[in-house]
Amino acid sequence: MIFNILTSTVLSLKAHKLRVILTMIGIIIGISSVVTITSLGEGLKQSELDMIDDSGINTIKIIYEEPEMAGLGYYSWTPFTFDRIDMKRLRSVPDVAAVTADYGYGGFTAGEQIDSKLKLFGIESSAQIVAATEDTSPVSYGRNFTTEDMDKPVIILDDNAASGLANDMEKSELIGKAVSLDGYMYKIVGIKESVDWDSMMNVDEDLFLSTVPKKAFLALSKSKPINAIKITPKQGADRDTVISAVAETLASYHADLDGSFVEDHYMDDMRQQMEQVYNIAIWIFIGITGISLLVGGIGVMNIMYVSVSERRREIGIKRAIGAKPKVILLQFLFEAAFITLLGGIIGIAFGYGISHLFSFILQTMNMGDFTAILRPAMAAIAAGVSVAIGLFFGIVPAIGASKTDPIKAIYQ
Amino acid sequence: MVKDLVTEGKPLIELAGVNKYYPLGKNAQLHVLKELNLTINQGEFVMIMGKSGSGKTTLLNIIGMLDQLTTGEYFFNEKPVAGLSENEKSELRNANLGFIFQQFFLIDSLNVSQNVSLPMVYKGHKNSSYRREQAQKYLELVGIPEKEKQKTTELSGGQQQRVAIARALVNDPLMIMADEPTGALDSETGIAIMDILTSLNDHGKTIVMVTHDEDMTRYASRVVHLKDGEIIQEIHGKRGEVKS
Repeated sequence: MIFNILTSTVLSLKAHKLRVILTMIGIIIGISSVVTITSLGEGLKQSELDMIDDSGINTIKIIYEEPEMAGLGYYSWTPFTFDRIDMKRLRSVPDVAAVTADYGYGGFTAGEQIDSKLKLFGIESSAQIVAATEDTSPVSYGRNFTTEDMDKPVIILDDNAASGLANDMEKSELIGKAVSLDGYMYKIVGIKESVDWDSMMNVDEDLFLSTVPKKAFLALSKSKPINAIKITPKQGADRDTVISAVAETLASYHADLDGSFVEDHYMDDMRQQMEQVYNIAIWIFIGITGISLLVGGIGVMNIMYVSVSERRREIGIKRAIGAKPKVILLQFLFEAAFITLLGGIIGIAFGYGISHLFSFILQTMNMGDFTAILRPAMAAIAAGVSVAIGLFFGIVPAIGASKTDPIKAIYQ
Repeated sequence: MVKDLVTEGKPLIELAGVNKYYPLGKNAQLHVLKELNLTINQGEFVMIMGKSGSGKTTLLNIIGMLDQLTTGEYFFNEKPVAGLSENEKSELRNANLGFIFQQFFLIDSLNVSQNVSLPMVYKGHKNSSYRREQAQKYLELVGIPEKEKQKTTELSGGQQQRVAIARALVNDPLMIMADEPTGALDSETGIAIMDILTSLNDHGKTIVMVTHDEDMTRYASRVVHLKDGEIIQEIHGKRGEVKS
């Protein structure tokens, strides 16, 4: 019976193509807006999350947690620091592929820019420091790095930092002096040219940075306190098993400690919070664009009323030849649902296209580096919502049709 | 092609003391059918005659379970109609009654075969090829087998009425209800349609037809004359001999 009603629904829709298309437009616009917003939002969210994941993908950060901080899940200050021997021990734990030190929280790793303080004779100057393998920025005083400098504690200051340190001296007098960076002494070998603000658009960004040789920096940082140890599990290894094995190994060698060795959840928490914020934003936008769906739904209801009133005689004839009221109800309900489902599917396709086009344009204009994502579940929900709109807004006209008095309808 | 009825002569329709009122605004009503008693037996060709407003179409609609009587009793095939739900009445109509209207009332969005098949759809016949075969069988019976796939709007009035007859017959009902079936046709086509109905009656199909055309009485085995909602004359006889 249902199949028969569906067949008669399709035949009836085929007979009123223009009306069907016009009804669908509202739904197409509504669904495509929602899908566009969702896909763009999902794409943006995913690209942000990927960035977080890239920074620590497949690595587990192990920290020591003081007893009173138990359960916090991320680093808080403790006098305990790991040492190189801990790292060596962990390398022999099963399923551990790599172990690296994390100086984090105050220290910094090679290649990473950080804001730091430089001190010279008690004068302090803030600088952005980067540990590099070379520096080709033009210098106004002194010289650039040479190959021999690479394992020596030398520094090339940026003009700003140099000005801060020079105080009463000429900047040129700084060359050859020792400057303290995080307690380690570096010899100043050069001072970079000042930033040419007039040519701001193509300014050499390295001019903002003070540079130290990577090798020298790493050698010095060996003696830095290790706040956390990063573990990379072997491919296919169970994460939780590795974590507990690592924690047990560390605990067995530090039996005198009251605290515990746990995974640092800081990034996870940040990831979760960011995901939550994005989800809320996406839903707010879906809510706003959903208003157009409401308008589309009202359009469906309107058209269904017109359709019922235009086809009163047809309803009467069908009732006369034996169609039960529920058959008439289902026929009109199916029509509404069919129109909105078709509109929904077209809307999803449009939304998919528009969102990809939009993210492509943003990419080409360097305004964002993400690809719109339409998850199958989201597409299914959109299609489901379309049908639900058809059923919701079609039910009242359909009930009206099913209650039509056959006599009045036939002899209208 | 049409089954002979083994129960010929058995009462199919029994109306007793039937009154029908139509409300006319506040505290006013129109008394359309007055204390009407009528029995129609299986195999009869009953012609209900009367002037416009005499209540003949209302009577046909009550018999066809499309309209409800206000007071009185109605038994269809010896079962009371009062108290039946809309769904039960729909099932009874679908299985036992075939309707033919003056204006044919085909569904334009469906082709000829689909129009004829529609009552089978509502009866629950799932097999579409069976439905098509049955539709074709009845289109042959009414003399237009070649029109199967045509749109109904492309047919002449006579052809449309033949489609309507095929649709009325497709579920092999006990009775055909015809409301002025020749009213919109020229006399020659009208005769052809009446010949089909006569032939169906010859094969045992009960026919109740409403008309105001005196000439039609020659096809009937009984003529019931209505005036102001009352039966004023009832004539029985053999076909061709009944004259009012």
